[in-house]
Amino acid sequence: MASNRKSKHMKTHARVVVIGGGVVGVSTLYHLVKKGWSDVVLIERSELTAGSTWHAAGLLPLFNMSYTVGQLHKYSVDLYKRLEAETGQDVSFHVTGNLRLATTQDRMDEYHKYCGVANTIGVPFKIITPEEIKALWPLIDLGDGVNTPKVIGALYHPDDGHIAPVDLTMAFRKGARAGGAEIYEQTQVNGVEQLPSGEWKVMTNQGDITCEHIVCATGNYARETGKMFGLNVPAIPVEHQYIVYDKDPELEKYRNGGGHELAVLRESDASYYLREERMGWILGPYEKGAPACFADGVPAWFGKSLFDGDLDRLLPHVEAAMKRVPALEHCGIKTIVNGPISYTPDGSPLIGPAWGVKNVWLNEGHSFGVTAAGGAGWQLAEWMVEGEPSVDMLGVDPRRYGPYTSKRFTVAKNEEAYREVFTVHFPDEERHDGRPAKTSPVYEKLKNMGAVFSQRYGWERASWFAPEGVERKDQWSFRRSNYFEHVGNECRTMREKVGVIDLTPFAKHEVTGPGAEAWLDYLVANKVPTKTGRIALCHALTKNGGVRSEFTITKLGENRFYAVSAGAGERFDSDYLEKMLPADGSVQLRNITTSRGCFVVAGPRAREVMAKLTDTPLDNQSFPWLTSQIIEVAHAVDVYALRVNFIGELGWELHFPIEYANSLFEHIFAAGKEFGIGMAGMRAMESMRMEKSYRMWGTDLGIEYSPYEASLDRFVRMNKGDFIGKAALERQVAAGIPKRFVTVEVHGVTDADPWGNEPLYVGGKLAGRATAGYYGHVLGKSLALGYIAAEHAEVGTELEIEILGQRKQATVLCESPLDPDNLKLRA
Amino acid sequence: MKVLVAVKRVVDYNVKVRVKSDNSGVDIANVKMSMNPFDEIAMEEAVRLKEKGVVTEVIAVSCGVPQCTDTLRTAMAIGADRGILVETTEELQPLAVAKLLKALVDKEQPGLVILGKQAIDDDCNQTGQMLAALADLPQATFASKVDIAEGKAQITREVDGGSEYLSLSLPAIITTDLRLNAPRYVTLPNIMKAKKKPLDIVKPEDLGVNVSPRIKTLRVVEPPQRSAGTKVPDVATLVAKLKAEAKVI
Repeated sequence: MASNRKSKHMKTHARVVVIGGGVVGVSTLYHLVKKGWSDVVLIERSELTAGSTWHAAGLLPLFNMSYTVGQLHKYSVDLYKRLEAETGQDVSFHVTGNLRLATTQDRMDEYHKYCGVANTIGVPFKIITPEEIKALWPLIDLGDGVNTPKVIGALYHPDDGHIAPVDLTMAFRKGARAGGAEIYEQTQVNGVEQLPSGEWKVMTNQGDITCEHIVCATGNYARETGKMFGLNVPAIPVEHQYIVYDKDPELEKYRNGGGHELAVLRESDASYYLREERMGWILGPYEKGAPACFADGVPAWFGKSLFDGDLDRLLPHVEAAMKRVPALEHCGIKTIVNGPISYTPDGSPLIGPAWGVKNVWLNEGHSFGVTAAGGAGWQLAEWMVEGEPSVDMLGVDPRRYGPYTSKRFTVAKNEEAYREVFTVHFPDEERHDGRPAKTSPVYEKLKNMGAVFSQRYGWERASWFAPEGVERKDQWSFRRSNYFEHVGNECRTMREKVGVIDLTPFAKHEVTGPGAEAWLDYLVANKVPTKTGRIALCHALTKNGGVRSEFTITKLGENRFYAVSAGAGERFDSDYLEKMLPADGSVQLRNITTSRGCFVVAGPRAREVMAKLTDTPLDNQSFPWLTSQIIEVAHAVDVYALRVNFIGELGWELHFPIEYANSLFEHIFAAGKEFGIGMAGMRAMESMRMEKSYRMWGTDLGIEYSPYEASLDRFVRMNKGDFIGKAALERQVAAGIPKRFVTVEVHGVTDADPWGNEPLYVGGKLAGRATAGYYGHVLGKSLALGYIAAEHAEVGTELEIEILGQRKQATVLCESPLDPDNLKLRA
Repeated sequence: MKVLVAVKRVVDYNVKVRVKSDNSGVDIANVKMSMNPFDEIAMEEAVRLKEKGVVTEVIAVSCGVPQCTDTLRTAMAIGADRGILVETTEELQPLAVAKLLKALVDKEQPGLVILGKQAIDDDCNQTGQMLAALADLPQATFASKVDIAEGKAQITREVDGGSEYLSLSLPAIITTDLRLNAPRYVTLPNIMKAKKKPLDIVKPEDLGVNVSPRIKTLRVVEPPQRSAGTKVPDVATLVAKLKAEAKVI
């Protein structure tokens, strides 16, 4: 330990400085060394693990509904098993297995849905019966359904368990130092400065150190660290308590009688975990009323400290646990450990590049840091060294949040995320706190039309519209629910008459300058329009050929382009574009998201509606599909009218200066009244885009699939010159495209349509995964979009899809099963 | 017979305390507080006596800020039948506490008073002794064994030279040392029961006691930082350094 004390020999230069010596920071250091970078250091303000790691309960849940996070957790668990052999440091990994109980059918549905995800990642699990539960866990009371809820089943993970967090950190430390990394404890970072060379200077109380990259893994201090770079990091800790019990004579009897260590028990419906601890227990609820802490920063006096326990908050969970495990009633309570754990608004960590600054990386907001540390360090190191991660990291990318994460918003959402850790994660669940934050100008109008709202990237959007007399409320479910019929009606109105969708949250960028076209052509795989008024669907790729972003690019004029992308990707896309700007000033980029609103007006009668509002000729000769013009519509001027839409009908996306939103909306509806115009929400859009096989960024498109795998061949122009990812695509073509994107019809669905993340099987073997799923209301089919091994991608291939634990027959359809020749949108 | 147990709310033994920047005292503003460990031992002993049938009622007493009710609830979860809080925000020193306890002894007439030998925040080791003097009662401090039989308390005391055996007539004052017992951990059902037990709050004036501090703290400083040690090659060098640098020989 001596060399870790205040070192007189702190380096003055390193390739990477990792700030923060918790398990996440030290794992990052370790993985950087493993990727071949030995000139790396870690700076820790007091001693390693002094923040949250030292008091973590050390659980290793493999269970996570997210495809990204599930992969990171799996990597960690596999790594931790090998770490002792590699470093010589015992990490006390008790592979006890994990038992997650279900007392309701919704919970079983959740587990079954998860099982699909687990199958796509390769995590071993088993759904087990009450009898099997009792055999595994004899001290349990399965419940009579009267005094104690009845256990109806459980999800069993044989591979996970618990670990000693401090020992784990020390194992990473050993491995990192063995590879040349240095660690400086009792060293506080006071500030950072960017040098003209682009390098960073980190100023500490032990001297300065210049480096190429900085990684922030500061846990409770995430916001303060972020402030040094001008970043508003939405990670604020929440208090989490667990009770440490004294020895339990019943447990001792069981173990001394030859019983093996019991699996970590999670009673999800009572929101707590329970594990053995030295012949006693540790019980950790995720209770209501746990407050966020340190919203204004960590006070100077808070060292390796804890908060006072609040047993009153825990009582309902403790009482539930005592009923489930009666032995607990007679156990003495040794202590309540109450300490801060980092949280984020959606409960997933922030792993990846910081926005707005170069070579600064975040590994913050870890609520399950011990489980995530291995995987997070692995992918972040890969990202830094190779330039890209190999896992699709969108679910944890720090740029999934925008500037809207005010302190109050973050506090409210983080407390909510904590409270909802064990809630049933319905695919259509919408969290309530911190809303509404950002609203389109026509929000009130939509509300009056019966809108039931959801939130993405801080924006309220209408999911569906409840007609007069129908309650404006979602009933979340894994199956068809209260809004199913109404969404269907919105689809039918749009496809049979004309409909409007408010897409104001679209991310919008203006790219200008003499270098604009060449720059865009280098960034995307398709050929950027050369003629004014043309539109092209373009994909920015990673250097490995995966799809990073999707833009609809319109040439508005000479050296003037308009790029539209997914609203949820605003910061993600903006940050990338900004960082890619050439230094010579030949390209200017402006994020004009909030200066323009967007309505889609689409359906067979759309042209007739538009004709009442504008004098611009709208016939096919004058205004072909995939072109745009700047026109006047009603009283709105300077409207970018794009003849393109995500619904696949005749129609226009109107991108208008935002101040015209309300009047334009009123005019559209007045004009459309005679045609039976109706409003549609995001769920109707989902149904309709599935019918057209339109891939959605963030689910169907991602870095793990190339545009060829996504069957977007016609959007790739290999002959236009070089672009990012071209070489990788050439290699893939030469080697043969391994997977293909398919549209699939699921047969025999009565109430459970696919949602995405379901495994696909051919001949009983795992052959692919669905990335999206929904019912095509107008087509009248239950649809899934996804990727399958190329040899099974032929139209007509019979396969199986696993939905909620059941294998359903499915068939590969042609692309765009509704109107495959695009007659309607070219009308 | 009744037994009175004094329990003090102190900084938790695990906390690394810091001195306030104005050196006026230790910063306990946001720090975890617990029952003084020696008082836990006192409570445990009292409850064991009750379980043996020697004692009929255990009364826990605490003096200080309103949050001391938490400490009393813990005492009641261990097994006290009721609690008394002498509430004040005044800085309490051992003499004041001893006077308060004496007033309560007069009121409650217990057969036994058990206190921790000292509190881990001030390490005074005075209150039990002062109480015995004020109340003119026999005292056995640093008790490592307690037996009550035939109206007498047979106590084993831990002293520097070994063990001392005393026989005290009751009522008597006992202060506990570490090896007297291993306190039990409270169970949740007992915590729940404790919420319903009676807890009376009185003020020092009600007991006719002036608790103003008699001793003024001038300054509190942290001990000097330990500097790095050095290795010496031989005994001669060691002796030289002890003489010249450490100045201890």
